[in-house]
Formats: sequence, structure tokens, C-alpha cells
Amino acid sequence: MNFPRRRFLKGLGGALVGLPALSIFSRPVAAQTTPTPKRAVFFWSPNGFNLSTFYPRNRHGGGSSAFGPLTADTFAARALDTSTTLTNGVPRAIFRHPEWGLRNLQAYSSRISVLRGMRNSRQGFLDLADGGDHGMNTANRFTAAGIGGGQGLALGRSLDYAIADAINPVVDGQKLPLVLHVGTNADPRNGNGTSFISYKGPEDPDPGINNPWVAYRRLMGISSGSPAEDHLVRKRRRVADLVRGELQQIQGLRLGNRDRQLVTNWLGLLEETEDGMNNMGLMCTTAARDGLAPEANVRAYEGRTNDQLGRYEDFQQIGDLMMKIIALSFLCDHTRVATIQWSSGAGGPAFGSMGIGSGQNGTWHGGERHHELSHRNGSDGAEPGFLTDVERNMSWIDMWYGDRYRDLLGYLDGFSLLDDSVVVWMPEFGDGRQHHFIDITAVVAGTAGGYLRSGQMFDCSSNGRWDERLDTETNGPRIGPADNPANVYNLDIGWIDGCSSHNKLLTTVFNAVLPRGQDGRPTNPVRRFPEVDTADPHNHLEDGELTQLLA
Amino acid sequence: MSVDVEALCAGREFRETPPFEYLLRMRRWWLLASLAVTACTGKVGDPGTQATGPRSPTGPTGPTGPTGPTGPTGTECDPVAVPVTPRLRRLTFAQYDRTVSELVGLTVNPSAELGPEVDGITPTLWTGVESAAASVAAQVVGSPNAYARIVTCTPSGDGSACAGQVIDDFGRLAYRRTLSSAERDAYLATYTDRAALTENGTFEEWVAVFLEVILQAPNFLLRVERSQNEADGRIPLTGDEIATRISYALWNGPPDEALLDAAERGDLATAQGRKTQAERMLAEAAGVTKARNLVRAASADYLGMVGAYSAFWSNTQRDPNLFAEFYPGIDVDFREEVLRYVDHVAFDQNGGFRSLLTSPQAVVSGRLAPIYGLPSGDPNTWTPVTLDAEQRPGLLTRAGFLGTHGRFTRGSLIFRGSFVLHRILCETTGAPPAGAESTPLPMNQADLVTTRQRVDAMTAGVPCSACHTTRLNPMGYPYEAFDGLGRHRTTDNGAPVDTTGTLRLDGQERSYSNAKDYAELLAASPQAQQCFVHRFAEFTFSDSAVELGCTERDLAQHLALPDATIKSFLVELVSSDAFAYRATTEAP
Repeated sequence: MNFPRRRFLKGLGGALVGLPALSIFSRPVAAQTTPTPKRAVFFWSPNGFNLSTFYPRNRHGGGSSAFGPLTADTFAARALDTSTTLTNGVPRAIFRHPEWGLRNLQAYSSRISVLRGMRNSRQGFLDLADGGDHGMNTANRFTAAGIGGGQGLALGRSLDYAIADAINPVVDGQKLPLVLHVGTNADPRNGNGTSFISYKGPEDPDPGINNPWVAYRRLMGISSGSPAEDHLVRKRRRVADLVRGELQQIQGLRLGNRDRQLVTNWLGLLEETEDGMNNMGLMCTTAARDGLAPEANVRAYEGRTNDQLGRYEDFQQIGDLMMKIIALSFLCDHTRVATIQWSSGAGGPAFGSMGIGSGQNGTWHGGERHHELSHRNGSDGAEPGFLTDVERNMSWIDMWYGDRYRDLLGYLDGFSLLDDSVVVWMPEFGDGRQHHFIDITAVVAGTAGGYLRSGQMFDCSSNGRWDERLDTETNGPRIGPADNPANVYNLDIGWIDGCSSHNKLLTTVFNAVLPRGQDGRPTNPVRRFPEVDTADPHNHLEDGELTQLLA
Repeated sequence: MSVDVEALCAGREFRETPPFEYLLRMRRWWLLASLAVTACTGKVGDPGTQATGPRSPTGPTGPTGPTGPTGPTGTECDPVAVPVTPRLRRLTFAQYDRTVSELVGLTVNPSAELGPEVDGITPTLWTGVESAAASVAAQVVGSPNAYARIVTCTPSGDGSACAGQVIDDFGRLAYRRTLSSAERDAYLATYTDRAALTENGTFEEWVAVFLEVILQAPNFLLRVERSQNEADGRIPLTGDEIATRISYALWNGPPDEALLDAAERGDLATAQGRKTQAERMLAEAAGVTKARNLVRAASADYLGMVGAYSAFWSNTQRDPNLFAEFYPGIDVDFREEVLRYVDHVAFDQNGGFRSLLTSPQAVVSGRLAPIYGLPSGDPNTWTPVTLDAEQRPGLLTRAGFLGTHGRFTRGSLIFRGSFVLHRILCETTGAPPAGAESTPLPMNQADLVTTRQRVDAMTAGVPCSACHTTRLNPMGYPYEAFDGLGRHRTTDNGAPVDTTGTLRLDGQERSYSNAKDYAELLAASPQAQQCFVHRFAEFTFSDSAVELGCTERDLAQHLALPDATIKSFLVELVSSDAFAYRATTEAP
């Protein structure tokens, strides 16, 4: 009478019955609609983007606005330019190369949105930022909270924690986000603002799990090597057969309309259940788990020290496993919100160490760390200097992260989870070169089941005039002699007017995953995230959602 | 100066008339009622409009005058009419919880996994049923007692004999009938295939699988009536179908083995056989407990505490300067008081319909006690007390009723009268004219001192008088002896209260001098008795348009017998033809 795997079976049962139902809900078969779980992922990368190459190009073909639908044209291949001609005082060739941040996301062009025209809620730069520019931007990114003195930590909880509190199932008595960190992480007692993006509460950061084996172990409840799910599936088939047989017999009775409808609906549900069973890949099973993340691949990290986990050689592999663990955790409904932090503020690996980058056209500074490249000079400081092909290196790194983001979308979509999710990619800064708090860009995938619009580049500025800020070729910041990245480490782009505070995006994402009423709006929406303002006079919050994004 | 507004023409009642009232009118109201309603509504404003008569408890061929003789004796009714019911009735959540609990011998609450309670089978409900079944099965296998109750044999040989016994025994209770051989074989096949369906193929694991499967079976989740052969204009039900009707009507739960045995013997085909079983079911202690729960739910339904009328019973607000005994949330205790009163009278006192309306008994919490002039006490302790029989006769003089049917500063003569008219006498009235509710109660004047005087003055003119003067207001006068919280009083605004009145009841002009007289009039009224029967049938068959034919009349006559009790009424109800036959037409 001892059922050592009882808990697993129960959990598995829940997922087995729940997930096939996803397909039920998306079809008009059932008269009643039941909300599918909504989920959110926060994907964070360090050091900002190369905004002069990052975006799909709407105006490249002569369009009048950088904003609008993401189409095949906007994803058109870009040729390498080796000329030395100056345009407006700047050698444009430094931005003209085939690599760019979102290049490999064309397959998702209708399912992602690119958001422009935001600033951090926390304003200020080196002069008044506790924690410095990196710390302030990192700590503020998903908290939109003020920054404390001392360690320079955020003064409020992050959105992943807030969402988990609102929508997560209770697992082991708690409702927690899955917070993952790729690389060596910091001890909350001595880390600083650059170390953490996830906060349980004011100055209470969650460094995240950085060992995939640790994160994976919860998935071990899906009994390793056991054919238990086969039993379960056979049992479910038996139930379906029996129920169908009885319903068909009942159908033979003289029934009124309501009785007949009941039987018809029930038979329809059986059909859907069977469809689900025929697609085991969409269920929380060992087959699904092992198909995506075989245990042996993860167990390889068992016993690794914190320092060992920061080895650049493992950066991509660990990150990939972490994203797979996110997808599996969603599939098994262990959590509905996850955060993945790649490295830390002012961090990032030297990509050459991963054994990637060889064969890269142009000069590839594989030994320089991401942060050093982001300064364009190969240094962690702001001294003059401009490495050969460094803009192209930066674009390549953006694209590398873009590819990881694409992989994450693929893992979620492989379980049919993407459309009901919101997957937010935000970098540490807007422009990686400027280290500034304005011109913050976000990429959002999934619509949370139709709450958001997608397939667009959105001007999220408050005045709708972001086009005026942009270079007509690159869609990035205007490029003039003063902005020539080869010459200037420009700290004064000064575009604060017209920017929407990025906390409006966080508010929008929060509302997108909350339970909804018949009108499609949250039954209990938040007016603003964070709901509690902090005492920091430099943190400027705005109420409401980014209405541009709403479906 | 605040304007004291009374709900004219019982406006709230009309606005909140539930759809089934209209259904009732359409399906059931005969010419008389149609004419009468028209008289009260369509011609509002016409001088001298005749107010409607009572809802006639007779059949379509009943008297045509609004106040014609409507007594249940000697009038025509349809002797073969039985309720038109669905063939498939999914267990309600309460029934599902009780049924599963009784089947497995554990107190479980599986409906918690089913999402919101809705009709039919939805995706959420169906997935919930599966996970609930798995969870219950795991609990049974984890509980030696529950397991031993279901597995009463020791597997030997290949174990199939014991498995077959488990299937037979549990299957009979779950399906509320003996399984067919095909059904038995299907379950036995799960035993034969247990190696494929479980991890280790043990007997215990199979038991869990069997429970999990059968708890998802349509024949378990639905109360199915298969009988289709007509005889004399209706369809006789099989013994097991009758047993199921009876057990869910008396216990809101599944038939026990004794009832199924009686069904298989054919005992339930006769009224006497059904009566014998019903009496047994209400004699056993466990059975009485279940019946008490059921009567409590039925009473809440009868009194309108659920559904559209429930607004009258909730959100009670009283001026604390006038009512020291008021406290926020008092409505919860008020409703509880009334339901405990019904329970006490019906089961502890073994009372009947008359007792409900006339008994001096009460069950009072320590916090409500001061309203009755009793010392206060523990808010959570409910104590049966005997009140002054002259002052406090029956249900309608309990603070729970009087205190909820009032306004911020006073009791509401109209709400109280409207309650009697609509809930106790099952009459209907049309909608009040526009703006009726906002008409202010006239200010105190020399000749308008008491609430009664002011309300009468307010409703004396056209069009209000059509409904109020002879119908609504006289049904509320007796309760003028109670203030807005149900405290007894002899004066209102310094003047003596007037609790006398005259009204038409059962086609006759009847006078009363106080609440006690009035309670006796209602208790003896065939119309009130038949209304009680009808309300109970509505609840039992979950159908506001339920038709019982002559059974309704017969049951009302039973209520009128001197020794009739609520329990004997329940016995008569389930012994009636309504529990032995289906109508020949299917529910739409």
C-alpha cells in the first residue's frame, strides 16, 4: 500500500489533465471558456544593446516611420559594408554588417513586439546614482524601485515576485518565482546593485539559482526512468473508453435538448483529452523532460562551486539548460513566473572562451569581456579607444543573446505555452555604449493569451514622437559627428522628455497575467507597478499601462 | 429634513422577481392568474381596479374569480401529472461531496477541485473530476479503515474473485443499482490489465485504479433515469431510480444498501413501500442528520434566502442610535436564527406546518437574545427558548424575519406584507408603476402618527391602492407590534400600534386582531399549505415550474392534518407518485 511516487503521480496527473485542456480552451468546441494559466518570463542581459543595429528596419526601404509591423522586409538580410565613406561625419560602415540583435527572430516576427521610447523609472547617472550607473540600472530594471544607499540595492520587490504572489500555484506551501542566474552569483549580504535583478522585498535580493542541477531537481519528481506516465496514460485511455461507452449508451435514450447537449459536450471533452494524450510532448512527463533536458546533461553540474559555475566555457550550456528548466517548470506548473539573469551588471563573459566566435568575419575580440567591449575600448573604464570592428562585435553579442531568447521562445512554444505567456527581454541599459537610463528597449514575446498586441515595433513614448529621435537608416539613435562612437563616449544624449517610465511596461505585464473578467480586462488590475513608491526622489513612477501594447 | 421613502407597491419584490416567477406564470398560471395580474398591473391607475386574487392552487379548470374558492378539497387536478424532469441530473457539488464521502467512508470534499459550480460538464469540471478521483483513490488506499471497508475479502488465487466482489459491492453503491454484466466486465478488465495500468500490479494499486475510474463514470456522476415505457399516461420508474430520487430528496445523498435492497425487491413500486423506507430513513440517527441538513437547505429556499429574494435577508443596516442591539453582520445571525428555528420545530419538537407558523419556540444566540428581552450571552451559543405565545407566535414573529424586513429607522410594513403575499402564499403581483419606490412617506401629522397610518396614507391613492389597500398592507399590519429590529412594542411614535386587519384568504374575508390570530389564519390556510408544498417541490426537483398535479393538493391536505409533521410531510412527499413516475415528455 506504499506509493512512494504518489506525489509525483498527483502532480503528473494534474499536468496531464491540465495541459491537453489547453487545446480545448483554444478551440470553440466547448461552450464554456475557462482561463488558461498565464505565465511570464523575464530575460535579462547585461550591458545594453548596440542600438544602431539592434532593431528591425522599417525605414530601410523608404518607410516613413521606424514603427509599425514587423515584416519580412524589416528582417531583410543586411550586407557588409567595407567602405570608409563618411555620412554625416560618421563612417557608416561600422554599423553595416550582417549581424544584428533580432536577426534570427524572424520566425517569431508576428509574435514579438519591440518597444521603444522608455526610460528607467530611476533617473540619474553616475553623479547621483547609489550603486553607480550599472547598479542603478540593474537593480531598477524589474523593480522600478528606488535605490538604497550602501550596497545600492533596490528598495522594492521585483515584478517576478509580485506576479508569483498573485498567480502562482502553491508549491511546497509557497508561491515563488523561479529565479535563475547564469554565471557566478553574489551573496545577498555582500553583493551590490549590479548583482541582482530579482528582489523578494526592499533590499532583499534573490541571487537566483545558478546551478542547473539544483534548479532541475524539482523536475526529478517526474520519476526518473519510471514508465509511470505510461500507466497513467493507459489508465486515462481506459477511463476515456469507459466514459465514452456509457455516454454513447445514454445517448440512445430519449433525451431532451439539455440532456443531449450535456452528453455531446462530454464526448467532445473526451476527444480533446485523447488528442492531448496523443501528444505526450505537451505533457509533464519524463518523455517531455528527457526530450528537452536529459538528466545526465544537468547532472554534470552536480557539486560545482559558485566560482566554477562562472566559467565562461559553460555560459551558453548552463543558460540553455536554465531556459529548458523554465519551460519544463511551466509545463509541470511548478511555477508561472521565471527570471533568467545572464551574468550581472557590468558583467558578461568573454565569448571566445566558449569556443564560439571562430570563423567570425572581421576582427573578433574573443578574449575581451562583454563589458569591456561595450565600452568599445576593451576596458572596464571610459578612457578613449575604439577597437577594430567593435560595433560589429557588439552586434554579434546582441545577436547571441537574441538567439538565446529565440531558443527560450522555442522551448515554450514547443509545449504550446508561448502564446499564453509574456516573455520580456530587457537589457541592463538602453544603449550599451552610453550606460544611460534612457532609450530603454524591450522585446516582448507572447500576448498572454490575447491581452497584448504583437508583431509590431511600438513607440511607447508619451508624446508619440520617438521617430524624431531616430537615425533614418539604422532606426537607432541619431548619428552625427558628436555621436560618432569611434570618437566619443557620449554621456549626454539628453532625451528624457517624451520618455515613458519603464514601470508602465511592468504594470502592463503584471495586468496581462492576472485573472480576467468577461471583458478581457483583469478583474482586479493594478494601477501601477510597483504599487508602493519608495522614498527615493530620483525614482519617477507613472500610473497606468502602455496602452499601445494592449490588444 | 430627510425623506422617508417606502418601497411602494413592494417595488423591490417586483424588480427582483426571479425569472422563474415568469416561467411559473407562463407554464402554470392559468386564466385566473393571468387576468388577475393584468388587473393589478396593466390597469394600474384605473380607479377602482380590482386587486388580484391569490394564486389559485387549483388546476387550470379552477374558479375564475380573483377571490374564488380555491381550497384544495374538492377541486379538480390532474391525477396523473408528475414532474417533468431531466433524465440526466449531474450531482450537485453538495451531493457529490456527500456521495463520495459515503461511498468511501471518509469525510472528503472533492468538489473543491471542480472549479465554480456550473451546470453540465465543462472542461474545468471534467479535469477536476479526474484529479479529485485520483486524490480520493489515494486517500482510500492510504487509509486502512477506508480500504478495509471497500475491500471486504482477501484476494486469493489470481485475486479476481475478490476484485469482482469489490466491483459488485462498490459498483452498486456508486451506480445506485446493480451493475450490468457488461459494466462489471469492463471493471474486471481493469483488474486483468492491472499490470499495464499500475506501477507494480498489486491488488492495492488496482483498487486505487478502480476507484479512480468509477468515480469518473457518467453513471456515477449523473443520476440517470432510463425508464421509457409509458403506462397510463406516464412512465413508471424502476426501483433503483425511485431509490435514487428518494435518497437525494431526503438526504441529499446516495441510497444506502437497505434502500437499494428494497428497490431490488420491488418494494418501492408501491406508496406503502416507499413510505416504509422513508420512515426508516428518518428514524435512524445518521439519516435524521442528513435530513436536517436537507430541510435547512429547503427552508432557506422556501423563505427566499437564496436567489433573487435573498437581498431582503441580507445587508441589514439599522440606525445604531435607535437600535442598540444592532451590530454589523446581524443579518447572518438573523438568517441563522430562522433556519435554526425551522430545524428545531421540525426535528426537536417534531412539529408540522402549523407549528412553523405558530410555535412560541425560538433558538436564540446570546447576541440576539436582548431583542427578545432576554439576557445577552455568548454570541456563538444558540439556546432553545420558549417565548411568550401571545407575542411571538411562529416563524414570522422571529427577529430574524422582522429584523431583516425593515428600513434603516423602522420596520417595513410593506416588505413584511409582501413576504407573506409572495413567499408564504405564492401569490404574484405585477410590477409597480414607475417612480413608486421614490415616493416619500408622508411626514408626521396630527392624524398620521404611526408607520401604519403613514404607509396607508401613502398607498391610498391610485395606482398604489390596487395592490396595497386590500392585499399587501393588511398582510403586514400584525407585525406593527415589532420594530425595525424585531423588538416587541405596543406604541409607535408615541401612539398605540394597531395590529388589526382584514384580508382575503382562501377566497374568504378574514379578520385578525394581532399576530397570533394572523399566524393561526395562515397556518390553517389551504393556500399557504399548498404554497409550502409547491416551494418544497421546486427545491426538490430544482425546477420552479414543477407540476405535481393532484399530489400537490394531497400533500397540502396532509399538512392540514392535526398530527402532520414536517417529517411526515417528507415521508408523504417521497411516497407520492412524483417519486415513482416520469412524465411522458422530456424536459426541454
